Amino acid sequence: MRFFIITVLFLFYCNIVNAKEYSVVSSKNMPMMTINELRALYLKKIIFLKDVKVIPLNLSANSKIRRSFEKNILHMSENQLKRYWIKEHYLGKRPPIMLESQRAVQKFVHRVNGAIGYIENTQNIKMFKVLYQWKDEE
Amino acid sequence: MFRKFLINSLFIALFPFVLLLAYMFFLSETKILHQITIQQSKRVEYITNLINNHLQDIDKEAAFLASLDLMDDILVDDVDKRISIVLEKKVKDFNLDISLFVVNQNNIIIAASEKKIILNHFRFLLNNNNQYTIQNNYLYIFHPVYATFDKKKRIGALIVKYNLNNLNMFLLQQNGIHTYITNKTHSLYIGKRLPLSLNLEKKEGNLATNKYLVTYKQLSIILTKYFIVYAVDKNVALGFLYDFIHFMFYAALLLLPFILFISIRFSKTMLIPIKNLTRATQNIIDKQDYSTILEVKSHDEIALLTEAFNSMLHKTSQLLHMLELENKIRLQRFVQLINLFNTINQTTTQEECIKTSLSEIKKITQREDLAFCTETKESAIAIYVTDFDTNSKQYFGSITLLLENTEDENEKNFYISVATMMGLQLDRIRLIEKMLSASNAKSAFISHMSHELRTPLNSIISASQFLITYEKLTEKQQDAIGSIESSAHHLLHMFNDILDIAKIEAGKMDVNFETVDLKKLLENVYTMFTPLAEDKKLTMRLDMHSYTIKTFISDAKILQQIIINILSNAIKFTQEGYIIIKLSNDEEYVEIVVQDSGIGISTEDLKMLFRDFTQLKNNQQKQYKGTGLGLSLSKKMTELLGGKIFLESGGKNKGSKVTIILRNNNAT
Repeated sequence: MRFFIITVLFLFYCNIVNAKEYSVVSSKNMPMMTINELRALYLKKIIFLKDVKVIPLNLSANSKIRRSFEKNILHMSENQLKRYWIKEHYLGKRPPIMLESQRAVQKFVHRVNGAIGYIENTQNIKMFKVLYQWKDEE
Repeated sequence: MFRKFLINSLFIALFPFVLLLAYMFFLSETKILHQITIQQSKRVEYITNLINNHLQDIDKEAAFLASLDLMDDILVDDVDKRISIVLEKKVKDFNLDISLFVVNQNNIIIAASEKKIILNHFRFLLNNNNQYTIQNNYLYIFHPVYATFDKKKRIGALIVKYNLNNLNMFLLQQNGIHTYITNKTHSLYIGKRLPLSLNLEKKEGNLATNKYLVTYKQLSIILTKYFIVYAVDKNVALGFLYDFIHFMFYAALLLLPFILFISIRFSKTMLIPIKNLTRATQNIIDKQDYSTILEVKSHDEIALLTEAFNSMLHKTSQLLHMLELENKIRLQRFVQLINLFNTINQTTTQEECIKTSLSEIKKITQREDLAFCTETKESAIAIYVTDFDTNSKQYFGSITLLLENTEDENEKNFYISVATMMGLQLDRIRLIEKMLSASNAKSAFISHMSHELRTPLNSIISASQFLITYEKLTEKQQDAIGSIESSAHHLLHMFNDILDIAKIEAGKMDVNFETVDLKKLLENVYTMFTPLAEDKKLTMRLDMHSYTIKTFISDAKILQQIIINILSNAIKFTQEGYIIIKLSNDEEYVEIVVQDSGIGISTEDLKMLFRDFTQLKNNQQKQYKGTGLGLSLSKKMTELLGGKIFLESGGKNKGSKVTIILRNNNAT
């Protein structure tokens, strides 16, 4: 029994230790937004936020951060999103720009006004305005 | 013929050859050049289309690449090398000497198919529009890149660096064929250039230089200021034609003796049977031998002709034979008809004429239903005779036959002709009978009258002669009685002549043939007339040297009278000159000629003589007494003796010549 309790505690600890933090970042002049607004922007339900045209950026499909973002922020599975964008495609809407790396996201956000993207907190996050943060336990 | 045939054969054999050579020499080159030009134009158009399509494909590909979402990576300097990877792959796909690169708005190459040029500065300025430029034999194609999130935001450009030597793969380079690309100023050449100074003013065209046939066409995509030039060496283009002409020429030289030999042989082969046929035909014409059959030696058209000719000869021979038979039959018929008409003509009485005619017609026609009847019958063929008193035709009788059995019109006409002939003969017989009867009556009348007249005349003559001897008569009275006696003598003489003529015409003059000594007879007559000739001082000569016959049979009395008449006339009508009597003979005839130098007779009057009671009416002759019966009587008497008498004269005052010709009945 004792062995069992020790094992569970160990696993719980490990889980706390491995939990990663992510942030949705933008240029400094981007106004703050709610999570719902963030979701609406990423699903292209809205484009402008307080007169600023927002350019959401995605990472590539096999990116863990993207999967975490979709799960925690958009609350949609990969298949749900596929079906959503197929439907939206016929309405003339296209999914957010997809970049390969977090570095590219950082460069893009840095250079293009209105661009927002999600990166790990381990990166040079101070250069950007953090709009939202979340944790994901692997 | 052989020559003509040979010439024709040679002409037929060589004419197409010569025509073909002439055609090749004078027309083919132009036509082939024209054809080559058309083909060149099509090839150039094809190459132009290939190059245009090729350049368009590259341009479209560049445009496609520039439109990719991926190009947003320009904004992040392609940190993930995604653009570079795509460009590399694309260049590999092109498999050409080509480079692709992307520049950002600062003309820094941030992605390229060649890694070494990344981050280099691109020298050329870019415009918003698509542009093409050529630098150092490279074609640069520019396509601007816009951000996917803002189509108005230009974020860079995609550039294609294309080595123009890539176009060599479309340019045809063969022996004698040259293709290259150049511009109007000839400042750039792609492909092997030729030393041609072409004036490329039009979009496309054809030129011909001394050595080349040139076709050019302007490109229409990207390289719009450049032209494809396609040049073909004339010697190569027309090489086949020149080779063929040489071949034909040498072939003609080689084949000419062969064609000549074949033509001669062919001509002979064709002509010999025709010559044989001609010779045989001439032979048939010469000999008239239509039974000849020509020998058939071959199995060709000539043999067919010969067989047809033989068949024609056979038919001709048969027809000629039939014609000969028909001719024989016709000749027989003709002879029969002539015999029929002769027999009818020889008949002397009407009954004999009818009987003989019917019998002769039966012989010819083999018809037994012929008969003569005097009644009128509808089916009979009527015979009409002439009534000489009224000069009209009258019915004499009919030849009856079953005409309904005679359908042939010719046969009917034959019977009608025979009937007409019979009618004519009956006319003749009737006329002769009538004439004879009239003549006999006339002769009997004249004889009777002469006899009756001579008796009182003799009494007148006797009484006159008695009175003239009476001494107491005055000279006037004596002259009157002399005149009565002379006139009575003349009248008696005339009656005697008339009586003689009447006797001859009535056939009652008796002719007593006996041996006549002509020489003696003539001498007697000569002696008789000598005093008369001497009275008129005429020279009279008797020539009998050419007379060789010892005995001559004739009637001496009649003959003497003829000669007396002739001689009497000669003396009467000759005032001066001569009278020659000549007796001669040959094997067939005896000839007595009395020639004088008297008044002669005109040609017109000659025809009048020998007629009864004819004495010529002219002033000169009126002084001569005569009955006008002398010559007529002499003629009739000569004919009675079986001879002929002729009178000739050179004309008036040129004398006359009377010739009596008698048959030498001692000739055999």
